[in-house]
Amino acid sequence: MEALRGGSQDLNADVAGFLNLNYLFRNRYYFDGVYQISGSSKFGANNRYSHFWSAGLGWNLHNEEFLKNDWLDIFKLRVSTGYTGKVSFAPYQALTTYRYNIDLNYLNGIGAIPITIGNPDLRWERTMNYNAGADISILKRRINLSADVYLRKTTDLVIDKTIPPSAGATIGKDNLGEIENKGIEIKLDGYVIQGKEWNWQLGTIITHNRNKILRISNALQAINDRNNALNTLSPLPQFQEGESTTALKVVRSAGIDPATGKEVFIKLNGDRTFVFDPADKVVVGDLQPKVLGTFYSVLSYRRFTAATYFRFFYDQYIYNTTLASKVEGSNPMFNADYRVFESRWKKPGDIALYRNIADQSFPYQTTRFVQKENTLTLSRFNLSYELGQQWLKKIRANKASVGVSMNDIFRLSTVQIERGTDYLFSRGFDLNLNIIF
Amino acid sequence: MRSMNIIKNISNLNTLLSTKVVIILSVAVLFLTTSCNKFLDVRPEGELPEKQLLTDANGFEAALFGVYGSMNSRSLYGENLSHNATEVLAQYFVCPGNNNAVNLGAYNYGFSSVESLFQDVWSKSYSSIAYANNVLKNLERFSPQNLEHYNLYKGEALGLRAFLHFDLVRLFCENIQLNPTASGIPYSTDFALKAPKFSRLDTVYNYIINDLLEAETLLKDDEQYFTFPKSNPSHSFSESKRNPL
Repeated sequence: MEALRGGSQDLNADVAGFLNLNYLFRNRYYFDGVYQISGSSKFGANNRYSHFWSAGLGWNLHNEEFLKNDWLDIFKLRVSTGYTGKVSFAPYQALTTYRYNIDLNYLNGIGAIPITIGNPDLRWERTMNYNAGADISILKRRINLSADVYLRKTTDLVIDKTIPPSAGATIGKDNLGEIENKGIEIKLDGYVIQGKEWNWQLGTIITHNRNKILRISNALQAINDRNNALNTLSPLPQFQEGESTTALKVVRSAGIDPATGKEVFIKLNGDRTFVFDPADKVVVGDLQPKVLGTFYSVLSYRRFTAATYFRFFYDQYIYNTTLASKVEGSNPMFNADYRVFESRWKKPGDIALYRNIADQSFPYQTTRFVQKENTLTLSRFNLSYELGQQWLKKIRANKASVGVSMNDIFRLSTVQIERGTDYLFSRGFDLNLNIIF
Repeated sequence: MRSMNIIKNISNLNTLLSTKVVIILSVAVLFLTTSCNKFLDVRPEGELPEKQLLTDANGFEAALFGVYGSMNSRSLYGENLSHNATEVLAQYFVCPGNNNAVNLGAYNYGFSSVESLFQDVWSKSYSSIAYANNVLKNLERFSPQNLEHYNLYKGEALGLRAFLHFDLVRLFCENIQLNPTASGIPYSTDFALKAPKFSRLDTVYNYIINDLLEAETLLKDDEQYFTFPKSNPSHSFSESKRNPL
């Protein structure tokens, strides 16, 4: 029999048309409007096209007579609202699609079966956005500030739903979820020194975002139950209506009992117990930091430029897996963290942070390993020199520069945790040469 | 492709509503909803939406081969329901030391590998039934007048559906002669993301018998194409007519 060959291919098409209107009144008030119609091959013919729109209003306060002065360049207030959409599934999940498969050869023909049971009613995921912001530039644009607050509500989120296997499939896609995102974004930059030879710019971008699940499906509930029952190294995600997608849920701990060296758990009703029950898990924090930002400084002298980029996050809860696996979960007979000897319970009366040293069982997910992290990292430093005209002529280039860069130079954190256990952690150093012809 | 980008800077609000803009907008929308439908009908090779595959003999036969092919899997008649699980249950086949076989032979249905084996039989059987149902569902768009072998395709699909349900009843239900009102299995007749309801055992048998009787009438021409017994037929319906055996 002739050998059969298989393969796969992915293909889809999208079309969109849009109408954009801008209207400016006396350079002071302006209006933006966008209407868009989008179509995607991924949908069944029922809901192939979707309509999106957005509208914005702005007020150029700097053009008003009462605010006209020398130092104010831009002062703009703006609000906008609108719908955006997204397709987040494979084409065959909406439209029942047959796929030929060489494993289905029968008699002298190759069989084709539906990849899954399509849901012809699948719709676009739609997000309603509300945004308000201000842009301010002063002193001949030497200092610039831009601030935004937003609220995004995503409806018709395409997520899995479980169905009894007697339907012929166990999972189908449906528009079931709703998520809300709220946040603030602030950008500030300015020139401390602006001159012929010396220039120094400082800038920062600060963001804050919180999300909340408004509605989920039964499939996620099943995943929750499964994730909840597993005692893995770090807690698996739990999706609950009214909570964040990145909520950290563990059982509250009352510490180590000095008499026995066992951990005391706090139940939902406040009772103390030695018995761990995953149903007692509560939200203790969020894995997403409250404030996340970058801070940069670009200092230049003639042809030399030194750029430094910091990253920081504030008020982030983490589950410290180093404590769970290397201090409490480790065997002191082998190479171990010093805290195994210093901080674990050894004899009755010890007030210890960690369990009985003789207990080598896997620790349970409790608040003892939850820590609040504030971190500052110097993520990149770059020093470069731009070549002068006489050099550029020799190599016939338009622009050229040489430089050195370093990554992850230092890190200040309130939490001690091993890094590079999942993915290689590297501290990089590189030389770079950029030439534009 | 075919996207329209109309940027208008209008200095006067009155012109915003001018007929010109409205016409451009409506032409754009009309253009998109009509001519782009074809453009949006793209699929990777080897994949075809049901409405495109199930239009002719080749398509329906590929879909039926698909049902038979899926029944060939090791979860069903490629292993479990032919020479393995059912043989172990009947005590014809023992394998001391093999936890799975020992527990299956002892009817220890709570044992994890035994449980997952029957979960697999249950869900794969219903998948195959759903594939047969989709053939039947798409046959509704045709009739014996406009699709050659219509009766044979319908008969095969009905027969397969009845056969698979019958084997599920034999595996999962009580003996009908002892307790005809016992709870049965869901009888699936649709291809949708919705599970059918459980029926009483005697009702399930009625469904099976009805489907088999209908299949028998529809398949009466079968003998023209295949000699009986079908020891090793090597042709599909449409091919055997072209090259009769």
